[in-house]
Amino acid sequence: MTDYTVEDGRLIFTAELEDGSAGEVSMPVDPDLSAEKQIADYIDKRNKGIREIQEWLSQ
Amino acid sequence: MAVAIENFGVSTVDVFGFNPPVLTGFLDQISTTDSVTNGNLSIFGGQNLRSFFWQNSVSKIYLEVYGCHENGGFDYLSFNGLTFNRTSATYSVFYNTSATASQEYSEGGVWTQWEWSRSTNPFSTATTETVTFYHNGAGVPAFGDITMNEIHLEAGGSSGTSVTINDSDVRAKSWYARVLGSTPASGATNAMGDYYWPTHIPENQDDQRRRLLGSNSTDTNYKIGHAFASTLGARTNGVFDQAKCGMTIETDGTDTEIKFRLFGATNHIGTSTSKTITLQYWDDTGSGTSNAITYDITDNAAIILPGVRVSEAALLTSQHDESITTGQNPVGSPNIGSKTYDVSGFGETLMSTNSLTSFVTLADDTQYGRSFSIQHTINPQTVSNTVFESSVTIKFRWALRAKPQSAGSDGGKTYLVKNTTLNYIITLLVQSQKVF
Repeated sequence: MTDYTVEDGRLIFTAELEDGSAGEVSMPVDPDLSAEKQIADYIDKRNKGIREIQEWLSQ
Repeated sequence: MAVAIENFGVSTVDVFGFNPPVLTGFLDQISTTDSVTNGNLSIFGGQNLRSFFWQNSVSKIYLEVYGCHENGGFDYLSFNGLTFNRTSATYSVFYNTSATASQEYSEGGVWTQWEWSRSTNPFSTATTETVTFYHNGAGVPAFGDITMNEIHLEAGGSSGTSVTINDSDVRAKSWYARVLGSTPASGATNAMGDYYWPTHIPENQDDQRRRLLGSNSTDTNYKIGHAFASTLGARTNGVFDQAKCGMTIETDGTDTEIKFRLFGATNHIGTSTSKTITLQYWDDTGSGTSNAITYDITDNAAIILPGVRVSEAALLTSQHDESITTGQNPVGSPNIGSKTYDVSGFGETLMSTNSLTSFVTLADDTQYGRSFSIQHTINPQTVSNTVFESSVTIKFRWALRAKPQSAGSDGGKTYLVKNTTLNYIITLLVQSQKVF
């Protein structure tokens, strides 16, 4: 699982995405979700969006 | 009262032609150049918009700007009657080795991204939309013309009423008070340009070397440089190997460069089977360690800030994965391996305080920075026939400030302080062997 920190109400972690991009992400903490769930949701959505654009580009 | 800082225009049609739309807005990767206007953004140091689009399948709006920028410079953006606050956005700085000018993007290197949730298409039915950045201040612009009345409004005064630049509430809104935390004294010299809304320092994408973006300090995929010095199979007397690195910052009064420095040395008495010095770096189009570039002392800029005279800099360094050979040489001499950290190794003025918040004032045409080295010394007595190896990874973190420029110009630049902003890694490695 990706390491993370919480600073000033924001969740900070490193993300590596399917298109080879990597970076540091900072998002407001969602009190209704665990940090692990927030990170997993973020990465899933980013990868989904990237895959979709790549599929359309290839058509 | 909020103040409009800057705006750009984007096409609102679906990028792929779908109806109902599934991806609307502008993506540099896909869109034609007429899909964006005023995409060269002054509040981000003149750097270009990389994208501004809504994607239905993930219910997100993305704002992307080339370059590495603070999560700041604006408080919210607005278009089509909608408002998106910066502080509620997911903020990221990304790097992609395949995102180069030759692979569908017009620029390579890093980019900064803000992301908001949005389940329905935010754009109007018009073919283009104007997107405006705002700050929550009362009156001052970020660049261009600035008036005393605007400064007075920013300080809480009423429009059209009497004000002087020496008023204490006015001085409390200067760049020196906002950014440096040091309000100018009564009677001190003030310039109109000191009262711009702070914006971002520009950088030259073409000259970026690899920067660490994540918190994994040992990720060698992001290292900027590597110094390696080796003497193997020395057959007579003593051996000395050294690998040294440093980073420096220097301004010539117009531009500012942050440079990395690499050095290697091998020396021994007698013969050896091999002597090797390897000095390499990786730039923003490299891909891991396979595309290393031979280091050239004349081409060692890590980043250039064109048109920016950085006035203050802070440097935080740290050592990682340190492994120094500690075995004793015979007859009570020092350890074979040793380290020399936090010194001036390349003629630079030493930045002696290891901190991201302790700033050093830069004089023109003077280099400031910090250097590190590891070395082996094998005495000419009997040591085991072993390859001794020492290594360390040095992480450099920079924070910069640039004083405001004159009013009426593209001035009022602010500072880069976030840990992710200017991070670099250099590795050092030495090997030594004496054979009998």
